[in-house]
Amino acid sequence: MARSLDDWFIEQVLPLEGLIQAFLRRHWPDQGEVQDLRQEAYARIYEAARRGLPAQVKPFVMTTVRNLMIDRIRRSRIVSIEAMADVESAAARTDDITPERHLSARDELRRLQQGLARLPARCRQVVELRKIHGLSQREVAARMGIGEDAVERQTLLGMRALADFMLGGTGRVRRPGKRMDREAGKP
Amino acid sequence: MKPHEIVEQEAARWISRADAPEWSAGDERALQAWLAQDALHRVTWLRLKSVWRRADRLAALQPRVSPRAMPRPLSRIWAMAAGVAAIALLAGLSWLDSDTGYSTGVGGRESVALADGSRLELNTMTRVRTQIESDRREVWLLRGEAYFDVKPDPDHPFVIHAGDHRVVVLGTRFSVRREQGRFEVAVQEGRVRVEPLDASPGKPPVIVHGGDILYGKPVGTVVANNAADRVRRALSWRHGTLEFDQSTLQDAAEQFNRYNRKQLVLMDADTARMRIGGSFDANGVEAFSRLLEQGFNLKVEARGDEIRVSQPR
Repeated sequence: MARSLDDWFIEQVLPLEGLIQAFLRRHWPDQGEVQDLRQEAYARIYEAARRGLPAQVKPFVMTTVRNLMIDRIRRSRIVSIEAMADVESAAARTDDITPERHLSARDELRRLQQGLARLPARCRQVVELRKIHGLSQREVAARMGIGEDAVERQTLLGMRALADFMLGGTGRVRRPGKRMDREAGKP
Repeated sequence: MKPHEIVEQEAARWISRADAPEWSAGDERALQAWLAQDALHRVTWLRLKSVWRRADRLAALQPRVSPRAMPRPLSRIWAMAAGVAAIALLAGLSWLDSDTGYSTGVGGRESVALADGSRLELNTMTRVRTQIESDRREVWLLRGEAYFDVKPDPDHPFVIHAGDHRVVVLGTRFSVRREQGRFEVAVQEGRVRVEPLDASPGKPPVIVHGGDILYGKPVGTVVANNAADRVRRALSWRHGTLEFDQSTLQDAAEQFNRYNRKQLVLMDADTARMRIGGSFDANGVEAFSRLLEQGFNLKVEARGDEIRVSQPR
């Protein structure tokens, strides 16, 4: 049993992220909204778990995601009958998918290195100075001869892309303010 | 930006700033308020933070430090890091599991026994990472202050990384503090060598002996010799007390504010310049402020999380 709600969320819910995203991509018509839905689902899961942790995490999580999709469809002006039917019947299939396994220390480091390798050069350099050399934001700025603002910007990009990659995503850098067309297009 | 990106960006900014030595108790309060505002904030923050912490493992790619090693230009260090990573992957990385982190919150104090027989004591708001293996003893002081009681072992130097400085030990008792632009090493017994990460003619390595305190400043470092009293005062937190000797109220307030959520705020320069002495419970900021009111006849006013102190009218 997890020590607290936060630990429960990190240890039991976050490893299901790949599963949740795959589920959303399969059943939600607008791929550009998948990340928003995922985040909102997390908030709902967390709020619901305040009233007591569920015995079975995966069915609970997937049901919450499904209900969120249903609520969103109901709220939208144009209800696609097809989308509704698809989502309503979606729950049956969630049990087939195997859960994410926990990584060993060696796999974890290897995966982190892969995630790091996907970052653009400057962003990678900042993350390396912070995580490998343990420097603070200010120290990184002094070392690289750039402003603290720039270091922070690169840190945020790196942190978000690394989280995406480590939790089963592509680890592509998503710059704030720019839409990724490819992300919006493909399942 | 899409809705999830705005929150994600904000959460990432909190996490990045909390890693800095400048992070204060006030910042921590602001973060807690932001987290309590909306479950969306909290889940986004938890998600990013959990992975960012996992990324601490990357420290394993740091090149091993030999006590006589000269600081290298950065590019070579990275080439070496890549080399070490490759070798480590081939060797099976059995030592990786010894990679551990410890932390304390505001007012916290924690004692940690390391696998090699050395001991650490963490002071308030401190985060360290340790790697103790048969052939390598390293600690990263990410922020805050820690006291080290290092088991002597001449063949395996004990290395502490603290931002721009590195402290190399052969067996001794001392503390290292890295906070708000401050870097201090107070040595109780034995000796340590402090090396700046960037070797330059103006910044040679410095040997600090028992009874000395080193103060690191951006312009250079100063060592106070034969300062056993100051060392004792610098280490008084280990017994849960703060000791002052002719310290300004400004210094005393800064010390108390490291240990307490209730922050002392000095409202005018005359108050800040007053000098005080004595030994106080580090968590007893309220008792201390009553003393200021009764013993020094100052005006003391509680306002939410602040205790405001000023000259009487």
